Amino acid sequence: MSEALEPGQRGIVWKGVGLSYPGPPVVESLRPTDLGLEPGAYVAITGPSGSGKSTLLNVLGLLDRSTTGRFLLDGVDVTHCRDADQAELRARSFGFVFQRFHLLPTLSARENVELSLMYAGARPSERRDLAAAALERVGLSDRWSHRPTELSGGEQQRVAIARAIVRDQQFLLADEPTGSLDSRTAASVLDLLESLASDGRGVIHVTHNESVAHRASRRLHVLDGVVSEGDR
Amino acid sequence: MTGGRRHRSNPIRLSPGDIMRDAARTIRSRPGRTVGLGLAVALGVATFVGVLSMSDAADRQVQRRIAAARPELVKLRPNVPSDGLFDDFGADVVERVDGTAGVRQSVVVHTYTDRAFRVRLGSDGEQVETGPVMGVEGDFVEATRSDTEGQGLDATTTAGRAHVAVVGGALADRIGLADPTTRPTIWVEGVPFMVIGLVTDSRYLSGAVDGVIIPRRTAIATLGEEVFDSTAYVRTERGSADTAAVALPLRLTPQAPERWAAEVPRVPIDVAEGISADLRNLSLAMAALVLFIGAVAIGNAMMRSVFERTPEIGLRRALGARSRHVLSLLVVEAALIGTVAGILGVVIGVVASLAVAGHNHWPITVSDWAVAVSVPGAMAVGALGGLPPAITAIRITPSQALRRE
Repeated sequence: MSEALEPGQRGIVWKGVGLSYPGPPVVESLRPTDLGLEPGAYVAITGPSGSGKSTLLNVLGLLDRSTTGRFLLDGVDVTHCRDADQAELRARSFGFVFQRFHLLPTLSARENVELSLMYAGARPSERRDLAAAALERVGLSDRWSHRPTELSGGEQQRVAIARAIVRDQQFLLADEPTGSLDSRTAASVLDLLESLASDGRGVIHVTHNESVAHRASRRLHVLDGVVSEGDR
Repeated sequence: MTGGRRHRSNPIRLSPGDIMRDAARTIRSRPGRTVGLGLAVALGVATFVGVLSMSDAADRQVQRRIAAARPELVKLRPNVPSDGLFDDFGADVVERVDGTAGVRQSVVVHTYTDRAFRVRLGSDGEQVETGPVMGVEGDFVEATRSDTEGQGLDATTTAGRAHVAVVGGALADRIGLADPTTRPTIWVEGVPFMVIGLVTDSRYLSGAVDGVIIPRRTAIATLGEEVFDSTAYVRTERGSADTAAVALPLRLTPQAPERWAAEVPRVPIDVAEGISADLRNLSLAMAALVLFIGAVAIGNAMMRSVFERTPEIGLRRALGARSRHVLSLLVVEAALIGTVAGILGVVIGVVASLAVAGHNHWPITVSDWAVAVSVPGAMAVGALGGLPPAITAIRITPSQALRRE
């Protein structure tokens, strides 16, 4: 599944990457997988509940550490790097969007977006400018001062997307981003993700929904921790 | 696949301002939790300051009482009684003693010790055996700190030979003497005396309450001058008794001061000071215990709080927060709460201790050092209490933390 991507190229290269938990019994959440993901790809990950979709996304986004194989990010081996280094890579390369948004309720939309920049070491004035630009990109330039409770579900998810792209991250990893939204709002969020992918950003999108998956340019199917190339 | 380069990190350091603002924002956003945590610490600090301040006040009160009990009496006796004669002290003894530095009042008390006396009220009263019969010269009431009813015996009264007497309250009860203001007559061994007052209590001459006290010269003239015990009771300013005890023999007989034995009756000041020290140690132990309980309480509350915030911590990690960023956020939060609660606790503790001291009429005292260490102490307690849950929080992987709801 590494397709055309080779070591040294931009993007993600996996060689036998897997994740298992020591037992007994040993649980193989993600079986050893070879994979290549180039920037700008719009990839849908599908599979039944408990199949390992989220595990795949977590290992891809360095939220979980693989227990086997090698992980190259932009040609750099990140398999065994320290936690602090993983945090830095995670912040630089990946933006996350979750089903339940994960916005801090006490912060305004802009402050939620700025939080990501704080951990990048950006200065306060720089944070404000970049957060405002990201909110404008997702169509919320007039809602920056609102707290999450004052925003609709779709607006909250757009804030989360703004947070995920504010540092111009290479990949946007979305775990069921439309799972908590009505169909009309979900469609607008999907349109936004599609447009971000067309801007050259990698969008990796976990979904149960077949019609949603069909909007992606590439599809990975996960079943019992085994990743396979799916039908378009 | 031949492999790639190893990643080299570029550490991001958050500015103290960022950490403080983030922590302050989090604190403000959870007022209920903040108040709960803060109250635990504030009450701990208030107890700490209050206990130590009250202990200080109680200690000062003890010291005040100890000072009040500093010796003020010298009992002066002839070292080698001559022949048991009244003139052991010489005729002008009271004048000479009273002229000594630090001396307030004095009285020479001669007590018959060779025989028992019988006394009756009026000519037909029941005759009973008395307690000590004493011939005195000087200010008996003030020098022996006696309480009297009616008239007492002072320097003027005792200077003459009048047949007047002051009767001990206990003896008065036994002979049926109730009211000295009627100036009743008592008969001692057949000699009449007009009763001018009663001695109801005597701090330094307790035997007086069962005895009969008459002027020295009257005693010599009526009861004889042989076989008695002579003692001068010299009352001094507080704390001057020891000095007076040295000066008095020299004053009386400069050429032979060894002729006199001067005794300063003492209250057990060492014991009192020991009790005071024990009290202070006990208070310190209590205060330390309270502070420890405060630290455990804040640790426990922080643990619950951190557990509730696990998804937030996971999110921060997903956004690129390093372990030390999360650690510093949680510890600074706890330290800030501790600091504010510490200030509040100091105020509560000071007010409470002032109220207690005022109510008990103790000296108004606030323990300076307790106040000084309380706020930094509360900050440290907060930080230390927040550390274990913070360490627990950063051990959770970001994906696990995000999954918790």
